[in-house]
Amino acid sequence: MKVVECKNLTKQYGRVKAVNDLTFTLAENKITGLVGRNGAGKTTLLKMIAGYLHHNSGNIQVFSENPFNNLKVSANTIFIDNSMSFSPALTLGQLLETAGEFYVNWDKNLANRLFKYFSLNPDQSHVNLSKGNKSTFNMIIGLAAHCPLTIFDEPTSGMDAGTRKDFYRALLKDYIAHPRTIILSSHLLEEIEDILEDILLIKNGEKLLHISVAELKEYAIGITGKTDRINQWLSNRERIFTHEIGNDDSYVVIKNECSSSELEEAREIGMRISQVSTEDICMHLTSKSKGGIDHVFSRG
Amino acid sequence: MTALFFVLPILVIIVLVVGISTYASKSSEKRHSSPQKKKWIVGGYVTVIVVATVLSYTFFPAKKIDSTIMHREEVKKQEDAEIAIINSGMAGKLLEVERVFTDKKTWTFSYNKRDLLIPNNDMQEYSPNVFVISKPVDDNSVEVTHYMSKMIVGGIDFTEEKGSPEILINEETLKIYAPEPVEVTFNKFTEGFAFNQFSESKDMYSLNNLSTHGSEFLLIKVPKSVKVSGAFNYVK
Amino acid sequence: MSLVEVNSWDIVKKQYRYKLKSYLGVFSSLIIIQVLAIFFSLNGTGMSGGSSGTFSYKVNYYSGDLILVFMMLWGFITAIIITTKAYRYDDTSFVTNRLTSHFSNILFLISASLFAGLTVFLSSHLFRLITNIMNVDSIMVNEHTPLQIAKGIIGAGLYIFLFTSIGYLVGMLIQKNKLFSFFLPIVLVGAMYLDGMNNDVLIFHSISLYFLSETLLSLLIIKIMSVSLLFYGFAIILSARMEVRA
Repeated sequence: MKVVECKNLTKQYGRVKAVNDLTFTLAENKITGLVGRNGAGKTTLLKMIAGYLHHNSGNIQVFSENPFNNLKVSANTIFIDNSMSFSPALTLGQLLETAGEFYVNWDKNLANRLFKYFSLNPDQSHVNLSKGNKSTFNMIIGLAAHCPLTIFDEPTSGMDAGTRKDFYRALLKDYIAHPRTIILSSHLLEEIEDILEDILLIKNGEKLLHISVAELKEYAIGITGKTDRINQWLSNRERIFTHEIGNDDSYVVIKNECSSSELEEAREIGMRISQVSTEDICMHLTSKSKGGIDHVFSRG
Repeated sequence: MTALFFVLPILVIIVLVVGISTYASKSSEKRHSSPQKKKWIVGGYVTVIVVATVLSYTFFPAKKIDSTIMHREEVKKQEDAEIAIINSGMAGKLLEVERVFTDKKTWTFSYNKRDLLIPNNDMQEYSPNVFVISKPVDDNSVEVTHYMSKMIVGGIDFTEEKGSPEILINEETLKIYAPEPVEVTFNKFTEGFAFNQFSESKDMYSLNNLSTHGSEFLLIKVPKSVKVSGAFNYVK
Repeated sequence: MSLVEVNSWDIVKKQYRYKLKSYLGVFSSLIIIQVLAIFFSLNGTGMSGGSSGTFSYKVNYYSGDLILVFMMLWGFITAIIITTKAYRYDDTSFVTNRLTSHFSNILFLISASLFAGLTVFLSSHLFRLITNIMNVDSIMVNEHTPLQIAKGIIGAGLYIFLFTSIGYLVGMLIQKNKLFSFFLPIVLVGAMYLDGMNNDVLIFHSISLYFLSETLLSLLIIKIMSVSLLFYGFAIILSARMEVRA
């Protein structure tokens, strides 16, 4: 079953297209990472999936229904971000109880144990929590709700490193015990790539890649060597990233489409072939220009 | 009520300001008072007003308004009956007094003179009708009875509060002295217009619907042979 | 994971329970405004007197009118506040859609109005108690029968509810376009001014008379409910194209 299905999905704010002509589908029971730079349209996309926002054109289906203002989608989806708002009149303990009333699959046991583990105070009010604790509390709700579609939008903002690790571990364990569709957005891919199955990479509201993490790891290679030799060897191959080292050395990232004989050839003319981390691939793919931040300074 | 209309706009503004500023705390991030504390405040207040209501009913029970007189029609009927009786008295025949008037006070004087003068009473604030009945026998006594109909202000019976005149017979003159002035202050309370809407007394401010100042007269019974002169009407 | 089927009415009930617990601030403002109303009423709302011969009397009027008027304004403000983002977004953290959210709001406002109507009765007796203590020797009159009191509480609740419906519509208009918060007061004051030009507020008078002259509770319920549900309906239609949460 397709949990999320988008076709030519577009969302405009005035003249700016926050999400532009996006087409993808998310299959059931997978953890997908939504990755992109700040302002790439991640949150807008997630809010459309959660049914908070209208789309301007194209089509979006969640559980085969239009998610906007849809009670069935709302009951089967939970959207966790750091601007979740809870009534200040209820204590954290009461909020957990309330969440249990609303979400049919609510795992009370898990919620209570996580709550204790992160040593939150059940008598406190949500507004008085620190930013990190707010995120932790929201995350507990997101996990314990056991919604068929669980969306975390930058869930770890404000959390310290230890809590972040705990969270991802909890997410993975709970996912294994209760498989469901999870979308996790982050700009720090390194942190989450171990638990992800698929990656949806977007830039300026457009889809760049939607592949599995395993594929992404093989997606590109890095080549280091003398600049003129590299240029010659690459000829008109498309470069993902170019970085000049010193006066005449270069580091270039290209798509991993070369045959093994071509790579052998490259090694023979003195070039070093290296793996590129997924984090770097995504960073290079989504960077504003091919040369990265150095470009700004080298032409100054 | 009119005074209320003048200050109302100012009060409305005050309410809006207070109301909005109370809520403004919701939007600001500094929310100090805990939910628990707020619950206590709300619970405490409700307790206070419930207790106050109980006390209000038990310690200061309201004077019940006589329900038979509450109706406007009843008041009108009584006034008509009074006029009819007084008029009949003026015409020389006193009709069924007991249904409307009650005898408040009776004086009995032994009297063996031939004549009795009832001087024209020129007191401005007090001038009851005086009716005289000649008794069929000579029993050497003059009986004076003060009759009063109900006096109702704003639905409350004040007949008791209103005093009787002072009557004295000096030589051959019967003198009527005005009663002591009585002043009553009372407070009318209502829970509000929504509560009056479904009861008979629609508008608490209009006393007239439920008020009648009543009438009074003095009935003097004289022995058969006594000749009465002055300001009065003979009745049978 | 299999999908959960939900029933709208079920969610409305859950949201209603949630709102009863979580909109506590609404009730603390009720207290402040009510205490203020009692304070303003202490001087009495009127006085009259007269005399008949040697008998004279003075009547002081104390009424809970002002308390009820203030509670109607409270209802108006409360409804506006509930339409603001801070309150609307609280809903989105749990299962909801626009319609269930509106319905649970209306249910909440009905309950809050009836509660406020009850407190009008109770607090007017607090007020009565205070004035009694202030004027120990005086006679207090005008007592309603328990049935009249019950009707009065419902009536007071209805008037407050009528004002919540106006507030809800106004609030929704403001959420739709902030300019309304500027124009609506101008239009209202202007209309009152024009209406009062002939020395008599004819339109406002007849509007209030339409409700105030109703002596049958059942008819008042029908009148107020139909008018306020009209306002609520309009507010719901207005919100149809609004984003749920930005």
